[in-house]
Amino acid sequence: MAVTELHTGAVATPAEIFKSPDAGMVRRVLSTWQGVVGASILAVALFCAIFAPWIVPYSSADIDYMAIMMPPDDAHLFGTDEVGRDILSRCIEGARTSLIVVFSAVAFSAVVGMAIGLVAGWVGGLTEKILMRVMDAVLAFPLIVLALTIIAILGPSLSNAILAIGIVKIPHFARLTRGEVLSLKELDYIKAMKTLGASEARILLRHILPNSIGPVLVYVSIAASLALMTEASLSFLGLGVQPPTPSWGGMVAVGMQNYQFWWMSIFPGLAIFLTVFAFNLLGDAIRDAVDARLQ
Amino acid sequence: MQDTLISVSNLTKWFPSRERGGKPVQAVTDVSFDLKRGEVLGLVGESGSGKSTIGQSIIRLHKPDSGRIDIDGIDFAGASERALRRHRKLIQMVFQDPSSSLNPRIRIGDVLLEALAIHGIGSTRQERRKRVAELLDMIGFSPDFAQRYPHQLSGGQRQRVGIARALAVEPKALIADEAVSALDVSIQAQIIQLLAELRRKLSFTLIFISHDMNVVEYISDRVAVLYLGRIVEMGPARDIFKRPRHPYTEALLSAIPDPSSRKRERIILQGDIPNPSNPPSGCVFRTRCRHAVERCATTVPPLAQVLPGHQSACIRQELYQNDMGQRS
Amino acid sequence: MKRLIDYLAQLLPLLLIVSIVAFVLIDLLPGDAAMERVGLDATQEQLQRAREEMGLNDPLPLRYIYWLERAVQGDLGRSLRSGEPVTATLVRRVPVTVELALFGTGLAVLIGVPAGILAAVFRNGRIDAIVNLLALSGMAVPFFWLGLLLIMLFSLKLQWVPPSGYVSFAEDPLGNLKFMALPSLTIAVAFAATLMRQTRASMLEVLTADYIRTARAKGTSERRVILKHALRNALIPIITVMGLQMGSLLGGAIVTETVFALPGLGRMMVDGIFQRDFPSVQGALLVIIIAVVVTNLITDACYRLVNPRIK
Repeated sequence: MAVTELHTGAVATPAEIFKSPDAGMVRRVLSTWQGVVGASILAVALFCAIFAPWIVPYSSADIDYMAIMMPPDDAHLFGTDEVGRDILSRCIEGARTSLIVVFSAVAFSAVVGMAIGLVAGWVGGLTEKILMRVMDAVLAFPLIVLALTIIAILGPSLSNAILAIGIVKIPHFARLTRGEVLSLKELDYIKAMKTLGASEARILLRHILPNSIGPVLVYVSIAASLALMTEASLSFLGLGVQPPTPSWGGMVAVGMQNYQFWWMSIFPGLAIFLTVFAFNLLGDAIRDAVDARLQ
Repeated sequence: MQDTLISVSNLTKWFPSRERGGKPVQAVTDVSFDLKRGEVLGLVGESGSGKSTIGQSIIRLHKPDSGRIDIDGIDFAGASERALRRHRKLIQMVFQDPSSSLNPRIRIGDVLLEALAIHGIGSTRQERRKRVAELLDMIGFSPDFAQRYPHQLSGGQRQRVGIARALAVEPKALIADEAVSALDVSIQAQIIQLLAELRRKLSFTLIFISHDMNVVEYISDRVAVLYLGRIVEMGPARDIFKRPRHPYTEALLSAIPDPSSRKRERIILQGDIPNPSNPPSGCVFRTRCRHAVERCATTVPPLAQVLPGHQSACIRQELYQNDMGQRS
Repeated sequence: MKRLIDYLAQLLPLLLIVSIVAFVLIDLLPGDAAMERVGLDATQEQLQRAREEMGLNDPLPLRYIYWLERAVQGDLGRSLRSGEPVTATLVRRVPVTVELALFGTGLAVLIGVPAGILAAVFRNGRIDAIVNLLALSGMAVPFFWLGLLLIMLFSLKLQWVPPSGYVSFAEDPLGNLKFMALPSLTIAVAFAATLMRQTRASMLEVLTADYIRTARAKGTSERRVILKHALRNALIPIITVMGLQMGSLLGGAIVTETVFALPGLGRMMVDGIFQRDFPSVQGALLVIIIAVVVTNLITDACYRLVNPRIK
């Protein structure tokens, strides 16, 4: 029969594992120096954030008026602050605060942004125009300015900081997603789903969404770096996380008033710098890895 | 007639112009034909002839501007998207581009499972898996192919999956929209063979859209020739190819390289294809037709019967009166 | 010309939306303006009357129109702290921020563009790697931390310039420059980092073009090739990026003004938030937004002018 003649030459070995097109991404990211350095630094930060209570040499509440503003020594690797707390410990705990804000804010904007982008791209027409105009309007505000304004309205606190930073980043995710959706709409397999009679929900969730995440994933790291920068700035200004919750930005602010005691501001600032740096590096590495896959 | 599966009447679809205030692109104008169950209709024409648009309108990827499309008694042209969904299993499509016709992140076994799931075919997972294995076998794959991702298949293999996906819901009709045009010639033959065989086995009605006359000749019972959105000639495949009765069909046929023919005279068409937003008056082909006369510009020639079962939209049928012999 | 008008017409809705968003945001700010006016121990009656007078009981769209009306005439209310008309305060403060932005941009261009050119010319060499690393670091440094570091080094240790404060250029040019040196540098670093990367990317694209090869073949010195031919064409996307970065620049300015105690727009906004002086916040916000939108406009227009390929 003609059908049997069509069996292809390629023999499937039983042990062959069929890998999805996404496999190997992690390996590719980690094969660049940017990926390795970025991931390592972030791993340290993450470790500090998760295991803070167990690895801090001193508790954050250990106020010791006998030892205020002492320079770094064997007892306190990073020195002490204005009420005698160990700065190293506070830095470690600050990691927890900052990363919580950053991850929550980015998750929030990614989810909301993608939803908006999906709807705008898929439905099109007037809805799309209106949504995109609103996104453009929000984008017209500089990050800090908008975040400040939102904080001004809601009052400074950890959750409001998350909300403010999250809202500010929504338009970018919306734009990225919408772009992807627009090009996906034209592909044959989407048309095939339509002709098969798939419901819109199925098409959107099972076919459009997974294939439009690409650029979002690349951007997430950059968004995180911007979010961290914004959080640090807000805390520095006193409008972010409120004391006594430790925050790197807040610590630098206190350090600024006591700039003779350099360790109070250098170390927290260094922490911010390294973590933002790491997010940027990782973002670059992810982007290169995704680009490579497209070749 | 119970016999007729697909009935298309006066199908018209024009697309709005890209520029502001420009004239619409007249993609398909006043196309009518009936298809009996189990018949194969070939739609041929150059790019821009509207053949793909006809296919997409029939399957309701576009909503026609006017006209009727009835498939097995269901009104496909006017129904709402929602009402139509249940009936979509009546007719399916195989697409042209193997690199975009499958979701790159879904294994091909799951692609077929999804098609079954949408229409509730098979009540247990077991049953559906069995059906998927059957479908894979039908296209010449062993069951472990189900684990593969599209990028692990060749173009021809992906087209076969596309065919399987279309046939999974057991449609009564299939539209193959340039289904082999993107494949290497040697693979094309394989896929055409597969289609022909599956059709014999499952007896579905087939609309085969292509610009390649050879391929259409092989597989079609009837052929419709399209130019600028209108049918210019339609009839039994044999007749169209051996005894064409329209200048455009003649020109198309003459362009087919045929090593066996010695006295094929190549008809080169003068001029360019007219702008589809601004087609010529009367017969749309007249600007490039070597037999055009004044009358061709004043009236739109109707698609009229010239022989039993054979229609042509050329008013100059006298050209063909003496030509009853075979064309080589 | 027609295109310009067309284009402006498209942007008007954007400006309108932005002003509406700004107004709504301000409106949401906590704090009762009426209470601030009549004092904490006023009676309910007095409070209500004040509300009526200030038009606070009108529906939102109406209040927006009144506000817009007044704003267009230059009346942005009075500071709740000092009673000074906000417009007057703005007039005093805007030049400070503008000066900071200008110096910062200037420094950034001076540092960033040549570095980017070098990186492109010595592509994949050590210079390129160093520039890349510098750029990556520059983008990661928090403004306030950098400012602090600069103060600690140049003001405290080396005592070259004062750590904070401000005097206007008109009064004391030399003093002004001394005060602005460190703040400008602080802003410039992050901006320069972005410019470095963008310049490198543009230059690379341009250097592989055919007309460069022609110039080289004609025997033009390498330096002329780079500076005259390549740079001119590479500048277009660089300028575009510069315009788009205005937003971040202003954001950085806000924080920097706080660090260096400069009496600019940023400080006005932050102080206003702390002191619940919302008309001031509003005024500062409005000016910042307008500045960003206008800059984007100008950049976009320049881009279209210079690049005839875009409609």
